[in-house]
Amino acid sequence: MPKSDLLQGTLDLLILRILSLEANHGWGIAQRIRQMSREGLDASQGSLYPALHRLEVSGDVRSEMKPSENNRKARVYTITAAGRRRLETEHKNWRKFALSMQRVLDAE
Amino acid sequence: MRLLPYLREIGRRRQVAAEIDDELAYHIDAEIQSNIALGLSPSEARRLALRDLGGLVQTREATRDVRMTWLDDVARDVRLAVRGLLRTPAFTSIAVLTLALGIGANTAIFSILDGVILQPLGYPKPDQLMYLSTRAPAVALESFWVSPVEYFEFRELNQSFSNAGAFHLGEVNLFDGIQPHRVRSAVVDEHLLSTLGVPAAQGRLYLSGETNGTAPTTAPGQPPPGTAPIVVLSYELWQSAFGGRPMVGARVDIEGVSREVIGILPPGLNLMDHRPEVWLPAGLNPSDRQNRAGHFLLVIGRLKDGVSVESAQAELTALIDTWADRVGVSGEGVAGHTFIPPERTIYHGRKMPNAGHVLQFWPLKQEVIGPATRSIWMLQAAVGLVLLIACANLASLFMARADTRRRELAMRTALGATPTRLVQQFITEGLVLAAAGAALGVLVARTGIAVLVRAYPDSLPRISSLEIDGVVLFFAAGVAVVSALLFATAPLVHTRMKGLAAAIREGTDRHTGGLRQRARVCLVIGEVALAVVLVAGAGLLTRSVLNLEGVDPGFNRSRLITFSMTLPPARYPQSASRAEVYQSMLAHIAGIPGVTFVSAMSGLPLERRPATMATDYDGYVAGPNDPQEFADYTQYVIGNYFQTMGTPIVQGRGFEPADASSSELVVIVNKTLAETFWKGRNPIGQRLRPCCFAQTPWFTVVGVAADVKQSGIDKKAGTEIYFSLDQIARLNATIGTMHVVTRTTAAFDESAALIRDVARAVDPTVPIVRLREMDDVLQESIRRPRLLSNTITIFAGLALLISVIGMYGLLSYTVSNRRRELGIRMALGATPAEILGQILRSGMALILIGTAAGVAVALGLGRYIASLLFGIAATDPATLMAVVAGVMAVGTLACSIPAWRASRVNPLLLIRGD
Repeated sequence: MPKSDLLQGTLDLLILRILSLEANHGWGIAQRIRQMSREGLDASQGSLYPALHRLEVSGDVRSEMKPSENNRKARVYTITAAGRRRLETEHKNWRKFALSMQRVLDAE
Repeated sequence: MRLLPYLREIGRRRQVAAEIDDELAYHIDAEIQSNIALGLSPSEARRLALRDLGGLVQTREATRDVRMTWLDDVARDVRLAVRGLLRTPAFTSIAVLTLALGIGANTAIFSILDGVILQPLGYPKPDQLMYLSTRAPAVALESFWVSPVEYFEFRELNQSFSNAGAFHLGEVNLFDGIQPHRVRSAVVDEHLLSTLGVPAAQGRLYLSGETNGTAPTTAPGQPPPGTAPIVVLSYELWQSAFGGRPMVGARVDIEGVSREVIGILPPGLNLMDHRPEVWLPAGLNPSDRQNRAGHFLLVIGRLKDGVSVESAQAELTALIDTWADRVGVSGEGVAGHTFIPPERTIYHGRKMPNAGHVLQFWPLKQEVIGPATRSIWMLQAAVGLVLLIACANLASLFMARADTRRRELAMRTALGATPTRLVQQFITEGLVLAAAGAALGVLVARTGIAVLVRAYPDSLPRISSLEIDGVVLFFAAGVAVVSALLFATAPLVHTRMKGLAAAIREGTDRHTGGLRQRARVCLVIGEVALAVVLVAGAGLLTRSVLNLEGVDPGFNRSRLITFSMTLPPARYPQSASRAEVYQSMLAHIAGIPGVTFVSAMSGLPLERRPATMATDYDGYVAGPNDPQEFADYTQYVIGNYFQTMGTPIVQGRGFEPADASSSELVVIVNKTLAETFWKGRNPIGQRLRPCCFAQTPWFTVVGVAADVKQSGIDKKAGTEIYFSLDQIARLNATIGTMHVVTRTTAAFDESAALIRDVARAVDPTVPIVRLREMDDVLQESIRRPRLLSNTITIFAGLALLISVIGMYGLLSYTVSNRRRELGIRMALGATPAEILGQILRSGMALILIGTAAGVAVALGLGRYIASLLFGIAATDPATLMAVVAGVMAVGTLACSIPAWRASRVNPLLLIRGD
């Protein structure tokens, strides 16, 4: 799927949403996206990691090395307060956008 | 964007890259495990995992990019740029060399601009310091000395200045016990150093009343006899002559007087660019208000805090209006000499011949820098042009280089470089080149300045304290950056960003990239035009210097050796004894083999300031607009003066040996004086009476000499009176420094050594100063025009060389691009001569257009250079024609080489090898 600004924005949102439920590492997030979107959002996993790091640079998430399931150390991401605020705002914007799109599309 | 994470990232770039690798590896492993759990084979699992990730390399690069700061980008660009530049050593070395010359020359001239014009004077609050002088319109003097009485009255009357000090400058003999030195002196009153705001570095400075004296001043820079035997030394003299040993309280022999050193000044102290080494008491007498008309002081005043120049000027004008009344002065002659506003030509029914004799002031810095400003700005403009030409050349080179890198750039674009990144890369390359050029250029500048100061010392004020400091380095960096931006973005001109990638990729080698080629042609034409302007300027200035050297100074300067000597009054109190010493010295020098004539005089021509002595001329009555009764110059001569100097006597006779002991007092006058005061009458037999001797006898004129240009080759000769030293000595007049001139047929070095021996035999404690040929005196008197013309000639040569290289490069490139076409034409029957002619003509067309443009610009800019020329107009046709011919000749030569190569093209090789 071609990269687009829109998709990047939604990917950021998805990541924040997933992390708002619980902290996770990159692969875990990828699995959750597969599950949550029921393969509907077929973002190439390659765009996941740049998005994660971008979020960390902008301060919406933070990361640290933690031991994981198979006792290997993995980089685990946690959402920050700023990240939660952003999620809230963008979620609201999405709802507004979806609502108005729906009205436009349904209008006679 | 958070700054802190970024800053932390900078240091950990490699670590960050490793962490990203680890993270992705973890992901791949987890994916593989999950795939295996789904039943795939390990190799299948791995393949699927990698596919789903979407390309490990790209993901890794994309993630790294997010983490990369702009600093990493810059570092990477610089690395790439350096590698790219090193791959083309020829291009890189030419570019760096050109830049080094251009930036170096600009830096050198800017350090002069900064050190001379921009830097403030080295005193506290230097903008408050004003230089005071008087005007004397009666004798056509615009900036003249102040008399002691005028100075004292000024100090008492004015309210705008917080302090004012008086001084004069000169040289004195200093004997350190082993050998004599001639050192620069400043004779100051107690207020001068405090006005400047200079403290003592060791010991103390002059206290109130300590500099006073009662005897009259004898000569500039000399303390009058009877002043307190104390002196203040400069830091530099303390180090050089006394090795920095403790000197406060020690005694030094100055002019035969043993003086106690009371203090040492801080390093780097300068006064009117004279760099005095000893500071002596002035011996002024504040209670003596008789000497109203003896003007010999320089005065510096410091404005009070918060007082503006305008308000101080207004106050001074108001004071001058009522000066005479305030100080209670009236009457005629010296007793009535005072400041008078210019419009008051009649006062209380009396005529005021001195109307307009006022006190004036302007900023001290202005006085110190003086007319050097124009020369320096001209140098800066010239060197700026050279840099422009160099940048044009580099832009041209860059364009050619962009053409040859098409494939590399296309590959980069395929790998994902955006047009912005490519532009960034061009600019980075340019900056790297410019940085290398600037670093080298600073070295060039330092060498250049050292050479310049050595070759032309004292040619510009404050030149001795030039250095490359932070400001200059900042300028060099700025110039480098601007140049880089200019020439690195040149290949991208006329191209919009969107189409950039395509434009860079294309640019076929069939055509020659039409727009780019046209740009290069315009660049070359511009270069030639600028070079022509510079060469024209250099030509005009050089001819000015030749004109100056060709002026008849009034004497024959070949094979004439001169030196100066001052007998200290302490050891030779009687004028008569001093005259004897000089007589004996002349006699001994006459005995040196090769010497034909020898003589001595009190003033050395070509750099004298007019003394403007009041003189009575018998039988001359000055009308309202006629010159006042003054003499500009007086010369005391001894020996066979006129024959030694080669100054012809046009009427009457010169001095004869009999005059020395004769009771009839005689003088010789110069032509200008005879025509000024005895116009239409026979000057021989007329009488004149100079002021300021003990009794003022009348002298009879016995001869008229040709004019000598006493104050400069480029100035008019003034009125001059020659006295016989022996006669003057009998009248007990003061005899100061004498300049001995020797005409010899032998070589300078031998004669100089022998002359030194003779002088040392006469008195070993008195130094021989400035033993040199009169030719050198002339060259020194025109050192500033010489500096200017030589430096601009070098720049013009550089400019011409660079533009010729640019022209050659362009033509070579064109020829090599058109080899196929030329080969075909030759195969079709064109002769080599025809090909040569065609290429040559196209090159010469460029030169012609450039030259024409350059001449037009040179004519337009003519008025800016006019004030620096002597004896030649800024639009002098002969010079311009020579410049045009020269530039065209050089240009044609440069074009002939590629043209020759074009005609040597072998058509068969070309067509076959295509």
